[in-house]
Amino acid sequence: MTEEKRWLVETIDLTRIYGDGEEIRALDHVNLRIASGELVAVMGPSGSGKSTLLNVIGALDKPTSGKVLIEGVDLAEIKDKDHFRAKTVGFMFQLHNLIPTLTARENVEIPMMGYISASARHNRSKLLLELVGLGDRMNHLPGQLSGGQRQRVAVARSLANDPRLVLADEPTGSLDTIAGQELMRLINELNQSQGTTFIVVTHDLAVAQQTRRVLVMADGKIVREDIIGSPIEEDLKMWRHSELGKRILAGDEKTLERFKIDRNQKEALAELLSFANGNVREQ
Amino acid sequence: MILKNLLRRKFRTLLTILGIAIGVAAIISLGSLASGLQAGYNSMLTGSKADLIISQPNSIDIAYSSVDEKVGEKLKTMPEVSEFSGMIQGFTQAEGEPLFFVFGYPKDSFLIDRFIIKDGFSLNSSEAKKVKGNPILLGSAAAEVFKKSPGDSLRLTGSLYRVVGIYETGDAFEDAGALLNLDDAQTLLGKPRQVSLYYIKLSDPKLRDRFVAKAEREWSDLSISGTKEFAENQTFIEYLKGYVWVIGGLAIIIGGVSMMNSQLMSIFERTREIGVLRAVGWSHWRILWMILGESIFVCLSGGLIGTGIGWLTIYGLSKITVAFRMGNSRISSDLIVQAFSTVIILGIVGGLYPAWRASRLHPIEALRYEGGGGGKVHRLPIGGMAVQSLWQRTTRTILTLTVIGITVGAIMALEGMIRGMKADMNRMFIGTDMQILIRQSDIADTSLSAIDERIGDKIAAYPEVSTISGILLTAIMMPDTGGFFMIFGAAPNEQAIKRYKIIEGNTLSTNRQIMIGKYMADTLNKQVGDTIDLMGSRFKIVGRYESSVSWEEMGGVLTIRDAQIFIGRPRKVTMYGVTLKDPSQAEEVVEKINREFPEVHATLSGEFTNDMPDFKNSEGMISVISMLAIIVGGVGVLNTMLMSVFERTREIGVLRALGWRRRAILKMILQESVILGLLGGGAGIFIAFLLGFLMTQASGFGAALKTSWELDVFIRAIMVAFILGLLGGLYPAFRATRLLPVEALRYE
Repeated sequence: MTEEKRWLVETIDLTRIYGDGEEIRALDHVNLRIASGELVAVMGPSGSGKSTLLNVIGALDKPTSGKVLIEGVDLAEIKDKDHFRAKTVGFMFQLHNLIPTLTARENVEIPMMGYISASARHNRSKLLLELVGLGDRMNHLPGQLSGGQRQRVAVARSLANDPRLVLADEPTGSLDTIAGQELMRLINELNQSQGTTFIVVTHDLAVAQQTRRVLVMADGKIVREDIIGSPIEEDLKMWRHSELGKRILAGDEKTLERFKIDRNQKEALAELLSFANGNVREQ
Repeated sequence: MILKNLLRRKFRTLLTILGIAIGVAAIISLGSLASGLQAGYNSMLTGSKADLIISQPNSIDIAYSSVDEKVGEKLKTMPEVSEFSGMIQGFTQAEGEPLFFVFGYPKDSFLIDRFIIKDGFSLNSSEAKKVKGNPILLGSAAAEVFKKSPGDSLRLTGSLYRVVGIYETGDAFEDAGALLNLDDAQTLLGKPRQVSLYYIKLSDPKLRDRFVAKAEREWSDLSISGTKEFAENQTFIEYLKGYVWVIGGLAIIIGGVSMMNSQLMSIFERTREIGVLRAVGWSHWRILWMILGESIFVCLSGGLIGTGIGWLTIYGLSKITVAFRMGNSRISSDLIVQAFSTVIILGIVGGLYPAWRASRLHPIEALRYEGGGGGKVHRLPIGGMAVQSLWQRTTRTILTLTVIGITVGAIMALEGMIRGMKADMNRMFIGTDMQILIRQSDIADTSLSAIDERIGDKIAAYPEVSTISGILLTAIMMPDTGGFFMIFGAAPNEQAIKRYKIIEGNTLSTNRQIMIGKYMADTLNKQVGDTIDLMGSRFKIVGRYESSVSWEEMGGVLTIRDAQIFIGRPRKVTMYGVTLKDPSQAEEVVEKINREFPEVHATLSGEFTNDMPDFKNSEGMISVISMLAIIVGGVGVLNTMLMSVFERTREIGVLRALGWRRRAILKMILQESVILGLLGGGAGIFIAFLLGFLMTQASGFGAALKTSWELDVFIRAIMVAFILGLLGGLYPAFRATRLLPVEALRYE
């Protein structure tokens, strides 16, 4: 087995440029490796290239230059992209994008159409809806479900063909905080129980913190990568990277004076938080 | 703003305009044919400078009027008359033209100078007398269409004529026809010693009343009228105009429903935008006017483009058929005004509902609108994605079904009607024991058929023949009922008369008697023993009959002699029915008759209606209507499916993202459009039944119509519907497959 094959997703100098006149670098030499079974969040402000990254990895869009390797195979060399999308990846969108005239079950069956028989589809959709906790809502139309339930249907649909990778573009974007947290809990569970790799694009730090690795993007580049630890570690890390934490650790006189922190205490704090430095990779 | 809104969805606007344009083009081109014909008749009749016209009253057209030449002899002796001229007019088949007008004038007619010779010689010239065959003059337009010049020959209804010259009168109608010597024309039209009318010039206009009184006394069975008045009373043209409006109207309705559909779709699409306009203070009225303005603009553009297409059609067709030369390739301003008022009304009617809906939108709800088939989800308990998608967009689906339904329904109703008439016609002959039917060959319409009785006598002498009966068939207008009165002629002692089942009174025994059909007797409230006045002649009603053939009851039976005099064709019959001693010899006898008498066309009675020219013409007309309807209907379906694809752009993006292949998307859209087509076909069958019923309720001729629904008519209707769906869906489906998933997902 070659070295590359270890990675489920690997991008090499991935670049996507839009526009003819004034060009926009949606992705700018992105190098990324995601192993099978990971749960990764991609964060960043609007226009930072998060969705483009997802679209290119999902073969919905083509890179201008660079490569996407899926299990070591160059995506550009996969001829049947439809088959790839149906079998290897699952998609979730911000607006659930369920077809309003079809029931939850029929929506889940959509990706399987043309690939497996009707009865197999029927059984699988039932199983998946039970898995996401909607076993009793199978024949409901999207309009008859709550926002959170609709996204659960979308999760079930993304898993229809048992893909190795699920690409979720702002899955909690249209949900309230509680529903968003529940959805992330479900994704977490599925990641662990099914071993499915998830890449979740989000704006929301709280959502990102429920994953195990956070990639932060800006201007088409991955500017930071963060490994998510235990809740106490995360709180300390957050403080370390907050404005206040930065000023104190930088030895800002006014701040130290205001909070009555002397030099020794500052050094002790810096030492305590040194683990947070080591786990953050600034690109 | 109106224009910008329409330009935002260029293709759809174009399709909508096209649908309306085709309807307008049909009205303009066919309408100009009818109005050109009318103008031609007017200018021909008034151009004669005659004061009065003597003709047979209530004839359907000049071509069906017969006045005996004895009238001319009497006119000579009348001091009030300074000049007079007989004129015979009729239509024949001519080298690929189903209807070609010919005119016959006496050599010494005061009207002959109107025909100015442009090339060759006049009919009276010594050169014309020298030519072999019958001399004929061609109108300049006819010569151009037939590509004939002096010296060439021309075949009319089986006989050969020699073109001796080309004339021009300046009247498009006359210039699209041909001029013959009166006796040649009488022979050609089978009306010896008959003219269609007499033009009369009075020696003093003051003598008019005196002359009219005298003439009415002298010829109680004729009508005397002023030229203008006579020109205006040509019912044939009125029927032609009615036909034009039916076809054009059909196309306009289909186009209009498509437009309403497109406008509704456009407001669904712009719901949020309308919400914004309402939020920034636009009133209900302003929104209403904006949407209505768009509809009217679309219709007016359709009108404009349609006028252009109509003009091009007339121009193109006038190069290849004389029929369109009669209209002078000119579009009257009246017609344009009519067509445009129709499209404006269409714009208002078709746009009002969408405009009203848009103006009623609540700003807050409109701003919240997220696209798709509207907020509420409708779901049918059965059916897959295609069915649910159609059900979801109920209004649009219903409107599209209406478009397809009217298209299919109209085609089917016409087809059913023709089949019904054919079946009636067949029953009329099959009801008798006659094995062979004979008509004149190369005629434009069976009512124009005229077979010399001498041919009948010769066939009667065949050893195989048991009996032969002459049948006469014609129709006149009944001024009281506004409808047709069918006249049948049959000899009292022959086979043909036996098929009229007498329910009261007796069969005919002598001339000046009539048996009247039950329907007509009821309509006119006539009893046995009463008299009836037909085109100035009085007949005694001796019997009342019933018939399984509806239109046979819409008239009466005269003796063959009376009928011959009545239609001015002495010793001629419309057709012969032959009974054989041995029916198995029928085919041989048919061949023998056709071989020995090329001027007639014999067929087995069961096959007679199949090659009747009348039905061939009607079928031709149906093809034209069908084509037109299919084009407009197809544009309607295309428009709907395009809208459906636009509306579901995101949905299609999702499906593609989820791994659906292009093929699967293609199949889904096509499935939807074919279902739409087939459902429309179902609606069409219903509409056909409805139209069929309404047609039979029409006053005048409705009772004569009977629709016949045969299996293949249904199959054809469903095929048309299927093709409409398939063709309408093909391009939108192709477009759907070309959508890039990323862009489709971003689509709002």
